[in-house]
Amino acid sequence: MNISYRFIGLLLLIAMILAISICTTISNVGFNIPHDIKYLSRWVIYSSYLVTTPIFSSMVPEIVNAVIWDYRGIDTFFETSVFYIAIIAAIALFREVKIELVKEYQYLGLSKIVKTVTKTLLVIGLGAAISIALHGHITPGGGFQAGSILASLLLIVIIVFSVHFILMKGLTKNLAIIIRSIGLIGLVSAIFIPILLSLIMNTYGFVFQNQPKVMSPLGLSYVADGHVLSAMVLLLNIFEFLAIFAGFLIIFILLSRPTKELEN
Amino acid sequence: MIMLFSNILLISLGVNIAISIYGIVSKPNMVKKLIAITILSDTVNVIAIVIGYRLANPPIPPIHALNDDYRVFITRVVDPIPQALVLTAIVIGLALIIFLVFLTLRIFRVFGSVNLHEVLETMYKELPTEVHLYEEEPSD
Repeated sequence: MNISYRFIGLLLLIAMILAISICTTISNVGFNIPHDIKYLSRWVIYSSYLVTTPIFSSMVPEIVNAVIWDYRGIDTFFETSVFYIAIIAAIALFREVKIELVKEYQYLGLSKIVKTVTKTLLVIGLGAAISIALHGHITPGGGFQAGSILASLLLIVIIVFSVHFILMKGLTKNLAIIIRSIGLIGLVSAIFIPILLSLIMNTYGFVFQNQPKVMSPLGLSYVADGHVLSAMVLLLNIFEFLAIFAGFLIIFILLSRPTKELEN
Repeated sequence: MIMLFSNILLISLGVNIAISIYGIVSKPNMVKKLIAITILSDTVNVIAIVIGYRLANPPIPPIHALNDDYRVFITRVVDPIPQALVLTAIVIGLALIIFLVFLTLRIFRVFGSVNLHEVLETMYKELPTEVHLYEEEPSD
């Protein structure tokens, strides 16, 4: 016992030294917040929204979304697949769980005051989530953030009204799996449609092709009727929103099953 | 003054990393390990965000406004690349946490405890003493 505690103390010391050395090696003496930004970031900021030459640009005003869905699109694609595989693993671990419905769900959950407040919050939060998903390319946010907001709202609903409320209203686990599949299929088809089109039209096409490039004329228009839509990024944000919100809903439904019921 | 604050921030982040590594290594409770992993990933994300900050007056978020002057914009905007990296890192960390939460719940339902010492004790108690885990090869 004594030896193990010494070992832990040693590890703690090493971690401490590593952590402080990270802080001090960023600059010579401590860490200076820079006045300027790096050349790569300068180039990314410059080329993300060039109205005069859209052929060399991603045409997304919100630069973080431009980086995520255009400059590093394939990285984000595989990140979404990691999330997908984690939820698949969670469903596989809990595959024997069957939730029996309680029809008198209005007697479950917290008090009437909390329920009324939650109903108001639900409307506001739903509007905020959809707004963030649809405006991800021009304001801060995007599909993932909007999906997280809606999922946390549904978690509040599960706590306040009980899980039987959501299940009796029709938001079951299978429906969530279907919504998530729609989101993921939309994501993949939006990514690979330029390549399929290029095979048909006998031109060049690329994965994650957002705007027309020099060699290939494929790509949606970034502006429609005076509104900046950023072509594929809007679609990708919406599909990501569906996939993330439904994935979280599956997790919350599976996790809200009490252990005592399982033992019976 | 700003230098002092930034160094205090970074040293506290280092202390956070040390605490979370201590929690992951030494605590036998799986829930406490999970909390420590969460603290670790959040601290690393905050470090990345701090690296992307800049001293401008005032710093603005990396969003192109309509009809903005690029020369003014580039003197104030913060670095967008660490923010994009952090967004990716948050999703990956979330996937890891989801899987670990389900694993912890599964262990609790099978063994009745989330303490890894107790789980190992029950595992060894339930194993009969004469059963060999690997079949011995016949020796000729």
